[in-house]
Amino acid sequence: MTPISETDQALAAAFVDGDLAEPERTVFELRLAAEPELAAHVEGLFATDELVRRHARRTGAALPRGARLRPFVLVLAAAAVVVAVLAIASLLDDAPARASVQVALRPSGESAAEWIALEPALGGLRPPGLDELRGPGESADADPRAFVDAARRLELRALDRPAAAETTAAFYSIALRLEAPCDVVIAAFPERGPPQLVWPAAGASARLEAGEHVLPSPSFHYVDDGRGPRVEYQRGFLVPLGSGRVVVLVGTRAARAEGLHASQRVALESPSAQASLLAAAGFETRQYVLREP
Amino acid sequence: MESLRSSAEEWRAARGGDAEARGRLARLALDTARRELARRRVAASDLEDLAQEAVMAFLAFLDERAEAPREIGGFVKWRALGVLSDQRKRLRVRSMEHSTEAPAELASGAAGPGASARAAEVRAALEACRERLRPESRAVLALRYEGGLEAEEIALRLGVTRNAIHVRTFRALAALRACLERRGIDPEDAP
Repeated sequence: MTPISETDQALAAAFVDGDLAEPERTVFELRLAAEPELAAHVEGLFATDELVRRHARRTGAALPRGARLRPFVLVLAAAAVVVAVLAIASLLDDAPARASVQVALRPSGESAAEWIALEPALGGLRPPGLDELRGPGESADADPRAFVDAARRLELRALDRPAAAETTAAFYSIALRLEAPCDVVIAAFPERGPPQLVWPAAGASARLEAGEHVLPSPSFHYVDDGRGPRVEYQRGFLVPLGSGRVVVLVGTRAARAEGLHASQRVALESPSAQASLLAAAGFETRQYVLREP
Repeated sequence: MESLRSSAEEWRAARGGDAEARGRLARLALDTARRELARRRVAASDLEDLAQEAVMAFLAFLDERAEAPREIGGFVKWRALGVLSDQRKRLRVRSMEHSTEAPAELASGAAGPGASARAAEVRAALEACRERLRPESRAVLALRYEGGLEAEEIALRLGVTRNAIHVRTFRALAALRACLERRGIDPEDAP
């Protein structure tokens, strides 16, 4: 098939998308009727577009109503993009953003006891609040604040270890060490079951400040609300039952003023499609593999 | 015996006020539009409405233009596909604004175990071919199909013009088609 000009390529795609306005549209239709080579290209485009649409798992439809950008928002967003691009350009090749991010996946547990079983250093400690750790008649014997600090140090130690090829866990956390504020996106792709965007939560910000973080939250919290100081446990992200193998994709980029676009708040059909979408938006991505116990 | 006239002669007659010639051209347009829309797997519930819309667009063009298109049948075909493109865009936009479900006409319609196996084969080939595309092509296709975005929105997202997105879309789909054909899959008749 003879190649067609760039202008005709754009016209062909615009025609298939329903984006051609009059009088260009009628002129193009007349040309298609008279130029078999051009018509063959557009026929092929039509057929391939239809085929991909039939097989695509469209996730954009799951956006909340009204999440699509209205024209005035588009203008504001365009301005924000320009500002962000200029800001990023001023950072030259934005080397700090790439060099300053460390990420690790860590198994979590359904209960504090399961979590502590993974960290022998905490074994035998019984802080107030974690009653499941105490036998009948046993009293709390660990300072809650010291326990939370120790657990947090252990949780972040995953950042200094080499990543495992595959981790078996029913729950998991993501630890991050950021030298600068970042936008963070986490998506999970089960072998069986729908993909999920697990971070950020719907309507929440993807931005994390510089520092060390554990998502969805640190596993242990110090609480002192009048009922006495104690420790509370927060489990990690759930590996859905029956999902088998799960690929977890973590995307990070230097924080941008405009935050996440609606299209970045959906989970796509595959890790590679998601990685492509995120890469186009300036994210660096890392993949981890989980195995359901 | 009824005399045989070329479409161009019918066009001139219709333009001159011959209602029968106009009717014959309308029937020709209707048959062509129905055939083309059916070939594009348009749902039966939509086919007649779209074909009628294509005929109306064709007759409006007849009323405006003295000179017949070189290929009247070919012109009607593309007019029908233009109408179909408009309808699909309306469905996509409506679906994104008012529903959480994909438009019915975009849903996979494979039936039976043989069709399912073939569809799975095509899906696997599609995924493999998409993996082989250049990163910028993959990104455009992901935003277009899985993200459900229109060209204008993709352009805004990537900071380029809508024209550039149309060019990238054309090239990405052309590369995808070539890859599928190398694997023995013709997008025209694939499930």
